[in-house]
Amino acid sequence: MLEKGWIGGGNTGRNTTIVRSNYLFDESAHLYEKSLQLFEQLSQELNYNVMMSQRGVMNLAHNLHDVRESKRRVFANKLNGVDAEWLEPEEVKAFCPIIDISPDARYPVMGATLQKRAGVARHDAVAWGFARGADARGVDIIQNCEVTGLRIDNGRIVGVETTKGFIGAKKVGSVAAGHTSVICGMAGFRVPLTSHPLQALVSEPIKPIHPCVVMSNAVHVYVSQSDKGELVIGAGIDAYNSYAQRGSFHIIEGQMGALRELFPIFSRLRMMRSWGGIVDTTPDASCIMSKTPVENFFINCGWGTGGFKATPGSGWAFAYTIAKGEPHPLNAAFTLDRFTTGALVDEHGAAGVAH
Amino acid sequence: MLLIDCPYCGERPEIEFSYGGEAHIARPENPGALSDKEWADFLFMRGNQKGAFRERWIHTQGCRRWFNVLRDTTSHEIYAVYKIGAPKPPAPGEKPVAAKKPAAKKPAALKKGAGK
Amino acid sequence: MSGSMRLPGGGRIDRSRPLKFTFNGKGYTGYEGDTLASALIANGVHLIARSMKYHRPRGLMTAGSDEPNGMVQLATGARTEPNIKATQIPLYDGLVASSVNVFPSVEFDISAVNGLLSPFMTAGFYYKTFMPSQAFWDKVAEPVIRKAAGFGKAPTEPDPDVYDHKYVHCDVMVVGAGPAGLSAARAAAATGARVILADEQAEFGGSLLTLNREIDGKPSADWVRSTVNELAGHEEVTLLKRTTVAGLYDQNYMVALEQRIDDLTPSSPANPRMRVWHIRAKEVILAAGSHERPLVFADNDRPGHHAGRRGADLHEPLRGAAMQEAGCSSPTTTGPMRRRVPSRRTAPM
Repeated sequence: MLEKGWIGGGNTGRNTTIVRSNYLFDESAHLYEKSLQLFEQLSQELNYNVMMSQRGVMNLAHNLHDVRESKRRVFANKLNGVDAEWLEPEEVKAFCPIIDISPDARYPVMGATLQKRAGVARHDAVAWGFARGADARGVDIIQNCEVTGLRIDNGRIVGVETTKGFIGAKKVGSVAAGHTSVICGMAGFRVPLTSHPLQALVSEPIKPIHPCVVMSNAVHVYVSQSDKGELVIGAGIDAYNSYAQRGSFHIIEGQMGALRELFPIFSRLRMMRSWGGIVDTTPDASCIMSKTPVENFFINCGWGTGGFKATPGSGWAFAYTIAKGEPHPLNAAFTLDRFTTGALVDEHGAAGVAH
Repeated sequence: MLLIDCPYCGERPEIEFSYGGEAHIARPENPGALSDKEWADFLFMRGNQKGAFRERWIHTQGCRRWFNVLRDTTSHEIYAVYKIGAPKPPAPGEKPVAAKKPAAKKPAALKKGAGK
Repeated sequence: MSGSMRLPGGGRIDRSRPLKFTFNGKGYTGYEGDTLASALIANGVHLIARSMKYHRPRGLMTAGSDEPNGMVQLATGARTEPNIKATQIPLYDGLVASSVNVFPSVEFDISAVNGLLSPFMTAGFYYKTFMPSQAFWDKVAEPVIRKAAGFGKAPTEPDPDVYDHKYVHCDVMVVGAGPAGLSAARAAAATGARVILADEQAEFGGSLLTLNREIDGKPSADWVRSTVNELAGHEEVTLLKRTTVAGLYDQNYMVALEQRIDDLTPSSPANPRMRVWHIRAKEVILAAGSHERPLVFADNDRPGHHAGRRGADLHEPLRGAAMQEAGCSSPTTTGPMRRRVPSRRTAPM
């Protein structure tokens, strides 16, 4: 396993740690539900406390379209065995008392979906738990080692060039997130990805006040409170392509405005840090776990703004794909081919953040 | 927030503009003649370059005209802004872009970006 | 000890204007020009806070925004604010503040027992514990950890205050109004440039507020005064005190937060409590000064240890009390770490 920086220093260390599986389409729901189920056992499995906290995730609806779309999603989730409820505004208030549901709000809360099994996990612990688990099973983890080229012989991959020299390999999997286009460029093909900054920030630690995770697609903010007491807040992506791990301030300002509308009591809190990660977005807001035009070279990418929640499931299905040379039924829909066949899995609604 | 030098209006903050993604992707003359793969290439596949990148912006809150920007996606430095149909200004060498190229190397008609 | 630590003269306070305030329920008196921190020290209050995990006693370490320890809960009700640094709170009459994350009090804090458990609570201990079962984590461990975590408390009512933002452009933006920043702003202003000078402190001067040096043949305090007056006379110069520049973004775009009302005066659209400045500058000069590096030794976090120069500025009331000094750097920029005696231990530093 090669990492050009350090383990957990990329988007794993930059995301807002939300774990949920309430996606609309069957293909996504099955994949994310598998992942959530693995998350539920992960601390025991890895013997490392990933601090899985099933606090419940609410996705707010602010207009009639949101309400219809959200209810449809609740029904779809139930049909797929994913726990989901529709909450009326008073029930939203009961579940999260600090939220403002007054009808004269700028974007009034007209209800919400709730997935009670969803929540947050400790991002660093997930990275390190997996690293320890992999290491214990004999994986060589090489940090500060950047892949600079792919060696391809007759359309088949035979190894990678790195800053520390050539490494021969029978099979290669790329899980480079925002840099997937760069890696695939080394193999001579383009992918349907654009890389954007996604910003997030945390407040100073405060005493427990926010009992769950609240997301709002319409006003682009999502917020939870960490075990340490920080409010963890994320927004939508910056519009432009970037690899710079930073975004523009107006995104943060808009996000704070939305947060203050939803939670008036947060107004006087101070934000401690903000940062950006580079997310790889696809045209249909669904991931790609797939074979490629290069034989024995596989890619796992396109998770956009929401890859953390899929970490165990994504790894599980990708391992199968690499081992068998064919996708598992769980990721069979998420091939590179779907952009040619047109069988897209359009999850813009459930992805939670504008791509 | 980027500072973008609209070729029609001058320097304006990013919030006045909307993004159009990668530039110079020509719509096929005869879409019906394309194979599925060629159509997917046109519709979905992108260069997503790290480093110098040619992209489209529209001055939504201003003149509402489209134009092209040559910008570095690692530093956000804007090397050049040019009108649709104008010749492409040359990009500096690949990464890293430490110093600006002398302005003299760029076509005189093009304004230099305001990047630092 | 109460009030006895105050020097009879000097400093940046107005002794003719006493101000009453309350800390942890007890009344004290300070003066106009004090910060909450300096007023507490003058009143002999050195135990301000407790650390997050082991609840070790913490006192004031340094001054201004550098301060890592002295966080308090400021004001009450809808205007309460958590985790505000005592060194950045200008004292006002009727100010109410309290220590955060202590029970029942900062002097006797039950959670200090965590310190005895420190061998079992090393860095990252929580990743390797609390896992007899997922249910134990869900039902027992996590709720306890959450209750223990966090410092201050969020308000429970909507914010009654009014805020504002502003977009401005300038030729030269100078961040920091110490000697370097003032000189740069003056040089730029002399060319007729549109200049914005911002400093987080309530007065311009930076290190010269407490250092006495000679600049251009006059005492540095006079130099600061005349330079600020000269800048204020330029039509194109904007002077922003109590303004923290919080971000420098692409193409010289900056975000700064101006604190306009420190006390409980009601704000209004015409007089907002804070203002966010969105600044686009042609040139930026960062003259924000330096942070002192603390010396590393056992118990350097306990009350009574403070950073050299800035800590000494804050502890001015105590000058004359015996001090121990140790240091490793230039006293004009990063001073030595100091320790007041009498103290229980006098280990060499």
